[in-house]
Formats: sequence, structure tokens, C-alpha cells
Amino acid sequence: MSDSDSEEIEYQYSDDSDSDAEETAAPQEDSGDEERKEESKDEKPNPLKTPSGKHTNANPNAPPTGSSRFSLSPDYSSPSSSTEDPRLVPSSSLKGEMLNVLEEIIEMLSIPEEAAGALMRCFKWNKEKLIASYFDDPERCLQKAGVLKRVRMLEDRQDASAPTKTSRPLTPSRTSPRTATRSTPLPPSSPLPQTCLICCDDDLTPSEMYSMPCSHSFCCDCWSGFLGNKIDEGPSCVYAKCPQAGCEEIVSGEEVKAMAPSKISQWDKYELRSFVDLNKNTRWCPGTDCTMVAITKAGVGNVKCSCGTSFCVKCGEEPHTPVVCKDLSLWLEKCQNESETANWILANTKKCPKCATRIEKNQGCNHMVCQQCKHEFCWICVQPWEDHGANTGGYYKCNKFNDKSNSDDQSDAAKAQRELDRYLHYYQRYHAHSQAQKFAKKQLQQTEQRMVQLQDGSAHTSWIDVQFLKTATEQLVECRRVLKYTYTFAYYLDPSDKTGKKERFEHHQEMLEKFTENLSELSEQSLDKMDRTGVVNMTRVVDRFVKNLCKYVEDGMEIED
Amino acid sequence: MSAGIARGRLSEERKAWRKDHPYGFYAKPNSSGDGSSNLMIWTAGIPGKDSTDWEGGLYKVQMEFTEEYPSKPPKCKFVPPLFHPNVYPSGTICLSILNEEEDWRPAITIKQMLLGIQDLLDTPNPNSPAQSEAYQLFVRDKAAYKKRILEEARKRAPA
Repeated sequence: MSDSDSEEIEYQYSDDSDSDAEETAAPQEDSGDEERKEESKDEKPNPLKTPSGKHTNANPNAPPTGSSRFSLSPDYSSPSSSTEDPRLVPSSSLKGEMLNVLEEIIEMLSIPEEAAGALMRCFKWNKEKLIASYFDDPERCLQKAGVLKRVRMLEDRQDASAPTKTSRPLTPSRTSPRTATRSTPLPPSSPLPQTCLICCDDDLTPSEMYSMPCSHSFCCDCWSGFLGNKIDEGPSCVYAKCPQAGCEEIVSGEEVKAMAPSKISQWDKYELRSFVDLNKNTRWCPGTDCTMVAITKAGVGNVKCSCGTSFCVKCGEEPHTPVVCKDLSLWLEKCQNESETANWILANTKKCPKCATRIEKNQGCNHMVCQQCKHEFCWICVQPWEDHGANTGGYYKCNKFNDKSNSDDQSDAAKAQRELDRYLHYYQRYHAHSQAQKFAKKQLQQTEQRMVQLQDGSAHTSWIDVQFLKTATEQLVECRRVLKYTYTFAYYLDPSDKTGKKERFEHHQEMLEKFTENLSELSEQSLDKMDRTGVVNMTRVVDRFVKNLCKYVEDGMEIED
Repeated sequence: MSAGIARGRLSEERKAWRKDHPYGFYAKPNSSGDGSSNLMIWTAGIPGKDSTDWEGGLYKVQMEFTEEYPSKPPKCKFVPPLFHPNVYPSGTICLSILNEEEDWRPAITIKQMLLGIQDLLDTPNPNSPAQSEAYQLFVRDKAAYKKRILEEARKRAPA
């Protein structure tokens, strides 16, 4: 394959320099504002989403406060619009989100809200599954969810037909709470005392009794204790059933409101929690102590939360394009299982190939310079760096696994050895980029400080002029993350593929690696040597390249012509 | 179910049992030694159902209630432990209606519990084995299992 067949992936250096930085900064700030507008449409403004201390700097030389919340980021959610998917909502808007979903079910099946909630929980918030099951056999479906009586009672009431056999008076309409009927006095001629089957008190008036739609009556004290206990026991309370032996009718917020009103907020919390936990289209932000929730239409996508955590909505891991969730989980499991072998082989240090001094890699770039003998080599393959750089015309050969061992040997031991070598090849590179990603993140934390120093270094430099350094470092983190997962992806590519897909992928991977090393090197320069134009351009190139690479994989790696 | 209804409920259970209970069963609170009765621990006898291998035996069960009853079920165990796939080596009975996480409900009565345990005798649930010996025999060698049950029934026949 030739050098020039870069197919759909573009990488071009652009020369316009100064206007660039502003261009990169400005539109992203806009999108940030749009994002906030978008959120404010939700019920409550979310305090988490407001970047702290923005625009409040009196001293232009000082970095913005709240430095951990960068408003500029090469993120996945930036072009916000009303159809943004996935979107993030604060937990205060969850109730509204849940009701939105329930609305359709309530309407379509004409059932009470409580029944719709229980039905959806039973079907893990999969509307299509619920509807299919309901139309297949409504009776069974309602029974399974424990709402048969609740739904049928409503129908009976709507029919306003002959009184039922139950001793409990029925309310005339769904909107008035059933408790209201307790105040409706029965004719004084029938003061039949009733018995509660829980406390066995046998001298209760009808007004001291309460029942769910299944009409199993217990005294209000027992109800209150029963519901209170269930709610105190935790999130599983939303599956609590009627206290009667063998009754399958499920408890709802209606009963809690009526009989244990002090616990209703806790109940609501558990209900929302189960809405998020069971639902394939929602996920709590995995960030520490973060209460934001990502909501998607199709259950896939990456989001960046206001707390700074980026995650894949489907699996909750860090965004991992181009690898699919299933392969990632296989990979992570494999890495865990083989971690001891791999760690044993991959010590954290390497010997300089020339003078054998032990070297610890303390920055992200793979271009190593031995402090002892000044020998330059590549961290990944430990070969001389001259063979790598684009300027020497060399070829970056670090990403390809060549199965050079004797592949004719079909013994189990030889096969196992080959498989281990293959795994180690990919793991080693995955691990290297993973470490480099951590370095880049650390570098990002120090960037603010470097920006201040850079700005102080020249009289006519404004804060916005030094933003490029942050953008570049953020881009670097992103590149390392994608590169890391390109090795997971490549590991799961069919090694016997003859269509050239694997080679093309590796070619692009190699290009990305090269650009990333360039960017890493440029942005790690000491400040007096900082080449602003170079960094800005390289950032742009790399950003476009990463996006194209991911899109290329998403599109199935076919050649466009 | 406010705190402290356990004793009230148990004394009502006692009354109800005296008024009416299934044939061949017995159930009563233990005596606490000073002549009064300890409502929190009951001893019951469950007869094997007619025309099952368990017929003729009377199986003694101890029921230990807590102050949280009837929010939580009593702990029921055969004394001495019984040869049965769903009975732990300690004698504790593994039955869904006696399990708070499963089908226990505050309104389940002592009568319902004992009838439930009687049902379990001849319809073991191989999906939740509680002791290895009876389970292994039950799934591997039905004839030997039957023989063992008949033996158990004979051993526990009331004097």
C-alpha cells in the first residue's frame, strides 16, 4: 500500500495561524452557552452545570478559578441542539423524564400512572417489549407486573357498573385519592367491626381500615408499619407486594402517599433510582459523587458530564471508540486475567538500548532521550528514533504485529506462545498509550500554570492567546485515549483478513500515532521554545484525523471511491 | 405494624389455633420454666400427608419469632434435623413463604406456614438444595430416596 492512499482520512497542515486560536476557542464557548440554555429548559436550573467562576476574573493575568472545569474541550457532546443525544439531565429532572415515558403508556393502555410505572419496571423500561407482551396477553402481562387488580378496578369504576363484592367502598373517580372514602361514613346501621389480619385487632371500624385495589384490608397502623419497613429496607421496596399471603398485587406510590406519607420522598427516590438502573437508555454519571444522568434514545453514545467525567452510556466505561463495548469488556477481562504475566514482562522501566541505563518514562512522548548517553530511541520498540521520525523519511513501524515466529509449528505450546505474543504485542501498546494518557492528564493539570507563565513572558499576550496550550493538551489526552483503544480494536480484528482492512486500519493508526507524538513533543516544549503556530496547527490536524479515523471504523472501514 | 405487635399477634394466633387447626397438627408456645409460656418460641408437629411416603410420621418443628414479627418471618427448623433436600443440616427449612426476600407476607398465619411445610415434605424443590445427602439421593436414586423417607417416617411415628 502506498503512502499517499490516505483514502477518506484527511490530514493537512494549514498555515493561517493567529486567527486560528480564536476560531477554535470561540465556537466552542458558544456551544457551551447553548448547552446551558438547553438545560435551563428543564425544570430546575442545575447548579452543577454552571462553570464556576467563569468571566469573573478581574485580573486578566490570573487563570480562571475553578480550573478543573474547563469550558473548552474536544468533547463529544459539544454541538448541542434540542435533539442532542445522549443528553445529560440533573437528578432533579428525572421525575419529569420518567413521567414523559409513562405518559405514552398511560395513554395507549389507558391505565393508571402507578400501574404504568410497575409495568415498565417489570419490562425494564423497554416500551416495545411491554407493548408486545400486553397485546399478546393483557391479563398475563398485568398479572406478571402485579397490577391486574389496579387496572381492572379502574375499568370497573369507569364502567360505573354494579357494586363489587368488596367491602371496601370504591371511589367514584381516579383523581380523588382512595383515602377520601374513609371519611365517607357508612350507614350507622352497619357498624360491623373488622379484623386486621396482621395485628389481629378485631374491633376496627371501616374507617380504620385500608386496602390496595386487591381489596385485602388491614388496619392503617399495620399498613403504615408495613410500608415504612419496606422502604427502610431499601431500593427493593418498589417490588413490595400486598401483605396478604399469596397476593401478587404490587404496592405503589399511591399507598405510600396515603398510609406512610412521611416516607414518600424516599419512595420517590427509589422509584427514580430503579428508573435509571433498569433502563437501558439511561446511566448515572460514574463520576465520584456526581448525580447527573445520561439519557439516550437508542442506548448508545458518549457524553461528557459537567463534573468532567466522560463515559460511554452503554457500558459506563471511558469512551472507547473505535472498540465496541463487548470487545472492550472482553479485553478488560483478559487484561485482568493476564495482568500478572503482562506485568512481569512489561516492567515499568526499560534499559537504554545503547548504555543499558534503566530509564523510567516520566512524560507522555515515546521519543526517548537517554540522559546518560543521549541516545534517542522509541519507547515502544526500543529501536533508534532516526528510523521513526517523518523528517528523516523513516517509517513508523511500531504499531504492526508481525507474526515472525515459526507459524508452521502447530503444537499446542507453540500456538499458545504465538497467542501470548500476539496479545502482548497489543497489550504493550495499549498499556503504553494508557500511561501516556495519564501523563497527558497530569500535564493538563499543570497547563494553567504554564499558560500564566507563557502570558507573563510577553507583554502583548492576552489570556485567550495562550488558550491554545490547553486545547492542545486536551487534544493530546483524547488522542492517547483513542490510540489506546485502537490496539484493543486491532486485537479483535480478524488476523486472517485478506481484504486489506487490517492494513488500512494500521496505516491510519500509524499516522495518528505519528501526529500524536508530534503534538506531544511540541506541547511539552519548554516555554521559551514554544512554537505556538506549530502547536495550533498540529492540534487541528490531529483533531480532524481522530474524528475521521473513528468515523472510518464506524462506517465499516470500506473504501470510498 | 408498629413496634411491639409481635406478642399481641402471637397471642391472637394462639387463640385462633385453639379455635381451629388442621387435623393431626399441634402447635403451642414453649413454657419458659416458671410456668408461664414463652410466646416467642413455638413447638409444632406436622403429620406426613396420607398416601405419601411421609405418612405416619409426625415431624417436630421449632418456630422462633423475633420482635420484628410479623414484618419478618419466624425461623423454622426441624428438631432433630430432617432428611430432606430443602432442609439445611441444622434443620432450618428452606421455603419461599418463610423467606423474607421471597414470598413472606405479614398476613401469613402460623396455620398457613405449617401447611406449607407439610406440602414441602412430599414436593421437594430440586432447584434449591439445602443439604447434599438428601439432594444427591433424590436426583440420582429415587428408589433409595423413597426407602430412606419410609424409614424416616417410621422412626418419627408418634408413640
